[in-house]
Amino acid sequence: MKKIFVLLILTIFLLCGCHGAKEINSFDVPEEFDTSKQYEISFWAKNDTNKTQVEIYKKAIADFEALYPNIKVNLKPYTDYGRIYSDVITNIATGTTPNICITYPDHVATYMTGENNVVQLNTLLTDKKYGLGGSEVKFDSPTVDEMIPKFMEECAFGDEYYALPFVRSTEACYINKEFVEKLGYEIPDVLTWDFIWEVSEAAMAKDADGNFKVNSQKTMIPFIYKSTDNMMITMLKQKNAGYSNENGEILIFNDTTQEILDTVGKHAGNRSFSTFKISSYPGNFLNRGQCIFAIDSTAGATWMGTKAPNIDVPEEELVEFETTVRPIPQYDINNPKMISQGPSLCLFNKEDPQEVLASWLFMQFLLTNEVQISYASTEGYVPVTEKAQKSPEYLDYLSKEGVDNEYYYDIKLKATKLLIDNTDNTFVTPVFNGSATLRNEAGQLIESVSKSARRKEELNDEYYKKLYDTTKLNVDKVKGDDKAELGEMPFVSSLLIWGLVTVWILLFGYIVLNTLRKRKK
Amino acid sequence: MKKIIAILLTFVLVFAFAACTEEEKPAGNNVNEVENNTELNKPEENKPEENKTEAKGEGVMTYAEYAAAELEAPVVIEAYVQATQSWWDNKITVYAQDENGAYFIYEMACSEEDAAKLVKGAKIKVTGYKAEWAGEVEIIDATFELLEGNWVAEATDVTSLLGTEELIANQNKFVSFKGMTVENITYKNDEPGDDIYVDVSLNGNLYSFCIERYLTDPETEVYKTVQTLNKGDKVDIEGFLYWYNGVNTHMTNVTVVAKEVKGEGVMTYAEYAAAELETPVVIEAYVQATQSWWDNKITVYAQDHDGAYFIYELACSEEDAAKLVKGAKIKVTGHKAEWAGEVEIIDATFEILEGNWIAPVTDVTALLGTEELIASQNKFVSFKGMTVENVTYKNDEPGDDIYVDVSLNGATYSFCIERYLTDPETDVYKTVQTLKTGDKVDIEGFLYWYNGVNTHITGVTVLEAEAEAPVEEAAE
Repeated sequence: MKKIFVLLILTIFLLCGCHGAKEINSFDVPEEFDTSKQYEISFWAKNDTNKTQVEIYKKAIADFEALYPNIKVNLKPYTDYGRIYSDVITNIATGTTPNICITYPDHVATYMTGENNVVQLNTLLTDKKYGLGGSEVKFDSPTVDEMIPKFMEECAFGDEYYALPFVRSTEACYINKEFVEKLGYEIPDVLTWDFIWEVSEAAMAKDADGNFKVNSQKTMIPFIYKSTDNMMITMLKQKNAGYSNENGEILIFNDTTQEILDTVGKHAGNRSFSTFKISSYPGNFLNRGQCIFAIDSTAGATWMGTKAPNIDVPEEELVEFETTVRPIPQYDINNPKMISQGPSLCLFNKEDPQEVLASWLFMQFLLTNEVQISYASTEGYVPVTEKAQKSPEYLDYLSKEGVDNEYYYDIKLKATKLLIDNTDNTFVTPVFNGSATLRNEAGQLIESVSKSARRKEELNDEYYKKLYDTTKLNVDKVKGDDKAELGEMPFVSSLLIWGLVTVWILLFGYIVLNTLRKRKK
Repeated sequence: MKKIIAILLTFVLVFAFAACTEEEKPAGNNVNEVENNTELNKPEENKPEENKTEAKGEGVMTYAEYAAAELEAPVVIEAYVQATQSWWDNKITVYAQDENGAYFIYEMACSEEDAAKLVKGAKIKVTGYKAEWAGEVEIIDATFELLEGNWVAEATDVTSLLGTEELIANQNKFVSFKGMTVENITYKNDEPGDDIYVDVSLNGNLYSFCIERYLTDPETEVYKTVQTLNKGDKVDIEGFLYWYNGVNTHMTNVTVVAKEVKGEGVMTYAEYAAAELETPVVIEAYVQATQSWWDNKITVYAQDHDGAYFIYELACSEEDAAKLVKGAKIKVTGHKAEWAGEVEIIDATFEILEGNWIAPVTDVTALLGTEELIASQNKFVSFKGMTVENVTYKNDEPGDDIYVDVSLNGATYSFCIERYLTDPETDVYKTVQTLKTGDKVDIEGFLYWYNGVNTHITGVTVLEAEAEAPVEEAAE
């Protein structure tokens, strides 16, 4: 019997040693940061296919490493939030998450499904030594009070912070002013959806040769929306209609959604409206004089307009025009609403609290004025701290709109100011496990209806039922089944678990049987 | 019982160790990704179907019918997989082809299990919708079924179609380009491991190709080969004729035909640029143009992949002058000199070498008025959107040089038609004679210097002709 127990204990130890992803204890802020030990941390960062942004990350790392020689930061650049998300999910399963990653709050909700994967930041934020503006921090970081509350709210899950905003953007409508006026309209200060649809339809008139009258070309898509996820979410928000709530309930299947889709379908069918996924980048069409209203992120402003510093269109295809920047169209011009978006920072938990602290210090460094201002000014982003927004350097930058067509490119600065002026009009959607999928599916509704309308399919009740069923299925798959996010457990792992269970049952049975036998004796 | 438990524990241990040893993937890799087809770079022997004219299945379009179909129309095709991008999220992007044309099937619905069956040559029936994205005609929202059959396409050489309207008829096909010159290699995000943008030229025209990492990842031969390329290398390329606002081949194979290496004792451009004036210099470069031969001398505009040279009155027989055609490679031995700001090679001799390259034009409009412009001295360059201010003949005589003043952003620059380079019979000479003050023009030429920039114009395109206010024929 003794031999069996020895064997059993040895087996348990052996098996424990084989576990891939260990459960980690929740993070407690160490008393002191250990500067005698070397730490190597990984930072998975997203850029907008913008080399300057990568250079800013690299400079931030070099500056930080000079302050903390015992911390080495390894940068892994991405150009797609979706790929970061996918890689993080994969690496949660193997216990190899990065230390910090750029992310959407929606994605953080999924990362949090594992226990203690993501560091809850409340204690860190206010830690006197190492918190924001802490006494032991070796650089001039912002205090909690200097973080812009509206942007901080977006990273809160209830009262708990699991991410920090890095920089923020919204969407803007980039307009070919000449074409609008040629069609007999004036651009209002606040665009309405009715205005956009009306002008877009008016732009579809053709001459006898089949050229569009407004641009004398064969191609004209008057209205292109880059992110249909945002389009659907924003339209619902503006109409005060259901989308989802804090409890993760899905409210999108309502009459307003169908009204919106009917309208979108009508204009997509007429080819006066299209999307990035269907037709390509709105900015490219705008710059070729083949689009009048291009809605894209303010973080895409450097690609908008024929004088833009970033151009993805052959020189000979560019058409000169004056670009006007406006907030996205509204249903209620007295109560404008627009989405708040942009990268956030997520801190992952590790076995060694000192490693987490080292990572936190770097994460905090990304909120310093220099990093905030330099990164925000690469595109139409705004810094997330008042400390940066009110700094003389940033105010000087904002005052030089149009001084050149590079750093002070007027469209970029107009887009930036658009968000600064409308920060209180921005909103975000509730975050829960599955909210990232719901966001995709919301956009997919517009994509599907647009494609179907272009294909002359009938958008009737039966069509919508089928569309909604597919959407529900995709959302439910994620919401109700974490396996869909983390992947199926490998066969060998399942076998191992069942083997262990069987051994325990047999052992227990053996002990019971032995006890009964002893009693009989 | 003890034996049974011992045996069970042994089994459990075996399984435990098995579980611990698998799936050690580096952080960041997507474990869901299907390995790329490493055979891409080893094209199999072409194995056409026994019956090449095999009829398509019931309800399946021929390639001609597919090509004629409207965008957004439902399409059903049968074709053979030539390559796939990495599987992800139950989708896979497929490069497929039949005997008559090719298809790019974007994010086709596909399980991971089925993705493994989409090997090179596999025949599939695809049902989806025809669409276009930035010029690329593709099939989207597609499903597929595997059919019996196997065929691997041979690369179609489309080199001669580059720059023509016929090229697009081969869109998505597996194609080859011969004798391309590497002009520039950059990584997306400046990060090795990501896509690689490969600019190549032929006959002075520049084309943007790319290594798409989801098709050919950093472990593939082609990715590694492209990483070793240098400007000026001559290469043969194979790949899929993808389109992104123009041809944007997704490369699958690169063969280096000739490495661009300077000969023994020959200076690099950097060494030439650093050399003191009046010192002996030896360079290798490619002729881009010559002034008219006279008295056993010829003045040459030459360029290599890093910079350009003005070789003034090179010693040359009339017979040899005929060999100095555009693109010819020469080795020049002479002395570096400067004349009114123009850095040149004088008192030079030359020999003709094997090799040929025509420089693509470099747009330097943004550098006008800056100190960086002079770094492009003597290069073949272009200026966009210039405004004509004044056009006058040297000596007031039509037939002689023409002085062309142009402006941009309020600053005026003096360019010229050098009659020994572009004589009165050339198109550019005739076009310049018709220019009027206020005309908007694009200009091409060699970035000559005469007390400042003084481009020798070789091409003018009138963008907007000013109807009124004719230019004074000549200063009175």
